[in-house]
Amino acid sequence: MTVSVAELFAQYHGSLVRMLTRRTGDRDRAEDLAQEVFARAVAAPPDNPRPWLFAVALNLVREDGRRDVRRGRRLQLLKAETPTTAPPADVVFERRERMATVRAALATLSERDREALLLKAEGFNYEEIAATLGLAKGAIGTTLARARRRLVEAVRAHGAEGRTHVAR
Amino acid sequence: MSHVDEGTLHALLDRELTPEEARAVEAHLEGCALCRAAMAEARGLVQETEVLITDLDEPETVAPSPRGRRRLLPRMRTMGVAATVLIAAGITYIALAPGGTPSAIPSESKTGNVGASRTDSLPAEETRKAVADTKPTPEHAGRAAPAARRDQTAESVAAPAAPAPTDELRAGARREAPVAQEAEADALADRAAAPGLDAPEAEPLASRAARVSLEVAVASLGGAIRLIDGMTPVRVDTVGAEDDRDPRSSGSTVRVVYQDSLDRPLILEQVRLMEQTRFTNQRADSTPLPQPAPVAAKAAARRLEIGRGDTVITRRPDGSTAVRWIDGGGFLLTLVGVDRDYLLRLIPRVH
Repeated sequence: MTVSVAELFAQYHGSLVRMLTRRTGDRDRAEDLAQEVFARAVAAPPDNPRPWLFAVALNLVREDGRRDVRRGRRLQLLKAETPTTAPPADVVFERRERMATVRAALATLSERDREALLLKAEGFNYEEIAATLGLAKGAIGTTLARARRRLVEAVRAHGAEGRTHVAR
Repeated sequence: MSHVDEGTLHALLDRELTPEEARAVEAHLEGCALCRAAMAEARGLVQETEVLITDLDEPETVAPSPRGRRRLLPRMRTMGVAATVLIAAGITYIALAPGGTPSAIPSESKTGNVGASRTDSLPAEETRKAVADTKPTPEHAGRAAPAARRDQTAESVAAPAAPAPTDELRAGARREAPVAQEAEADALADRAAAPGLDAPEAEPLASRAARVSLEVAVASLGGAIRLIDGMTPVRVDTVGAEDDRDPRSSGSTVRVVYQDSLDRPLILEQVRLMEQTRFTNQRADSTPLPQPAPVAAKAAARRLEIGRGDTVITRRPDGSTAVRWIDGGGFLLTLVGVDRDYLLRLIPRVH
């Protein structure tokens, strides 16, 4: 059974943009990518829409990422040169700091682990994650277990690093 | 049985094992301290990850903005994108329909989709619809143009009535008795019946809660409803809790029941406050909403006052948390669930 793109949009656009924003760290880019995904859904209406939409979205992120690799490196260098400010007390800034920590931790994961985690966070079950990422369903438990452990450990390691830095 | 591997423990926690598999693992856990420790660790990882992922969301969306303007901007933007997508999609469709295939389509989905016949008149129709949806000024979308909003909302939650293929797929994969989950949701829904601020004398209201269609719920709220962006409701109830209302409220209390990503029940209860009825009653086709009964005012007067801009968080006797606030559209909203931080993060997703 296929449903109209308007229905797909109503049902999945919010979730797709959220996942893409988490993946890319850039809301505008996420919106643009989601727009492209739905444009493609009109061109080729999917039978199994949710895995399809998210698979297309993740493919676009990967393609986009490869193009941006060089530019991204330059930006990172510039970013590293920016003088660091004192730890902000404001809640928003604390949240931003936390977001940066989690983002950095997420970046240490393999592409597959990262994507599996983000899809799970959108309520995907193992079968849908497997369909989206082209994996065997039986491998998803292991993939998620590894991804969760690495993410949590990377965040903890980052936290320990931060404390050491402050203590000096 | 040898020790349980970590992937299987995570699958158990994610409710992805068959009942037989789950029983076998649980039986092993009973007799194996090592695996029980691994299970406890896995549970911690699952919970911690869930919180960490939401930490990736924009910080400014943590607290609800009662002023409304900042919250409306993303919506306005989304609606604009909706129209653009569908217009652009129409063009793309025309350009690609004769056989073009976009490069990023996953290979397993390519076959059988491209030539699907249902697209005959789709793009023009959908474009019109999307443009119509963007018409109401977002600033007043919740009240001045309830009809447009009703259309939009009704569409977004059509899924439970007519499950999409993914839902069927998910139902098949979960293998957990859906009845059990629904019963759990029911139990919490009943406990949530006295929204947010506990009146100790409040009795269970299960008998007065009636499952309704989304359209009925929207109508009973005067033409609009609040839903959690990106989540599909399990069901929608109207609650006949007359003595539980805020004295400023009008119409029915509507309870939208969801499940979070760990399949724990999550309730969004809502009622529209009286000042908003002025707007809804301006519409010719809306029926005048009933005035609150004196008993309602009396009961509500005992309760803690809540005003616009307040977010009241209450720990409930059953261990769940209720978060209550009034949004820019005059909805008194109560979100009830297990995880307090998760509830707070959900607030900006309630539109």
